[in-house]
Amino acid sequence: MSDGAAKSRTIKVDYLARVEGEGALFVKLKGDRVTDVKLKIFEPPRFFEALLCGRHFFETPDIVARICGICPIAYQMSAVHAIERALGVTIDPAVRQLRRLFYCGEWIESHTLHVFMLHAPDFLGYPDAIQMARDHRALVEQGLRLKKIGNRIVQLMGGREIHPVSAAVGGFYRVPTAGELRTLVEDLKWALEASLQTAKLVAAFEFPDFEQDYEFVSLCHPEEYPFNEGRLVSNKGLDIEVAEYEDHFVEQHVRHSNALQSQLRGRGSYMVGPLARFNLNFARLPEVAQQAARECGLTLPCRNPFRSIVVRAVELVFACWEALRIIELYERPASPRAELPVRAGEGSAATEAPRGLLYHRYGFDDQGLIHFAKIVPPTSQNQKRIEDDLWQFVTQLAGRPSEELTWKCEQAVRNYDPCISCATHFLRLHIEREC
Amino acid sequence: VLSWIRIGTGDPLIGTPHADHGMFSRAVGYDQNCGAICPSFNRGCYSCYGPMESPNTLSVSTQFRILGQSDEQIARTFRGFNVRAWQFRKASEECERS
Repeated sequence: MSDGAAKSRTIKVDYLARVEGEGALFVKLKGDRVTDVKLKIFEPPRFFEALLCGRHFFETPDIVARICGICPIAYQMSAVHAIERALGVTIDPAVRQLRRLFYCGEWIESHTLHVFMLHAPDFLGYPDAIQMARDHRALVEQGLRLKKIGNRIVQLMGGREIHPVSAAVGGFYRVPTAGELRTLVEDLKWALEASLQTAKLVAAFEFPDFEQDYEFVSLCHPEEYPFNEGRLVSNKGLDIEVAEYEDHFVEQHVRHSNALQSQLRGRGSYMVGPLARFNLNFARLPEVAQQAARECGLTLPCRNPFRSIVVRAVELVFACWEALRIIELYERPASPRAELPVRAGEGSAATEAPRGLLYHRYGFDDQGLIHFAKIVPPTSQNQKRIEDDLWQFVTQLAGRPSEELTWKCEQAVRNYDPCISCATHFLRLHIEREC
Repeated sequence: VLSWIRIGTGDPLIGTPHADHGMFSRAVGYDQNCGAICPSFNRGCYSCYGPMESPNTLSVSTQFRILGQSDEQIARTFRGFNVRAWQFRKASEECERS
């Protein structure tokens, strides 16, 4: 069939289900040729960067936590590290370990939610986890119990599961006792076993044969699987300090999205998140997680985004193991947080949110009042990559019926566990007045 | 004497916007909401659940002043997530006027 005679088809998903926030998908085909792909993010912008201006840097962990109900700790961690860097403050090594434990709790909460409730229904052929529970009750119950254990870590350390109150610039307002942390051990042992089972279970799902030549970007630390520290590294030669982030990455506004799209200067889209972390940091995973990955048939580099569900399960294994390790070695720090000078400064930091790299930069005056804030969430960074995936993926599947194609496209978006609300906080408000 | 006021606990953050929100919690909110999580974490309440039915914002402002906070700092404290609550809005505007 020639192009001229080719029939046009439009694949539209007006409200993407099982993603956080409000987005839509638009794919246009002419015959079997894809002519347009848009991940439309229409959730209204939330102006967080502007809201922070004029506030004291001490307030940032409480304010930025509200960007996301699923990953508030990620926002708190990127913020406090950026401000500590600006102030030249070094934190107690025990506090540093506690921050890793805090992050383990969030990864367990968030990855469990995605693996079991948001992504598994795609593979098992259900519209949602509630319907899936009818036939797979044990699976859903296991997911809920695992999630609850992540919640417990966050609650114990932060006072509540969502928007915890303990994170502070310089450390924590209160640190747990060793005895309090030990109450988590039995649950975490169960969670580690459950995560290993989960990895095996999801590895047996059927994965579309789809691989792309991605540029994976994540933090890399010489000894640890990354949470809060490390250089910014890619599989295509990027190796920079986090402070150099804005020399290499640029955010652009596109008409169809209320979230800025991030790109690597001169190179285009890139991927952040579990797949990127896994491919770039496999050697820093503990043996139990490496072994789980091998048993699940994951090989390096894993370039099939649909297998991200397996990688998330492997990261669940890691998070449970790491939490147990930290609890076992825990010695309560002498002081919950470092003394802080209040002075002018500017600093940036990136940490590994469950969905990938989360970059923050702040500038503040000698009173500690913020005059500049920049926040680049993982979903902004993956947004362009999601569209690029869809161009290729739809081309592969163009011959399939529209209904199946729509289902598969949604699944392809969910590979990235997008958090649309996180991504739409940007936009600077410009008011033009005519005299 | 405002016997219900919880004054600082030797918190090194005194003098910052977070200083002594402990009293904030007693005066404006926690009883009916969260169970006073923040004071139990050695920090002040920042009133994330908003004002209680009849908050004593004037006493709070006065005590913040006694503790050495500036009007700008106090106004900022009232202008958190719940600045649209009329009680907080009014209190913050009074700080600006004074």
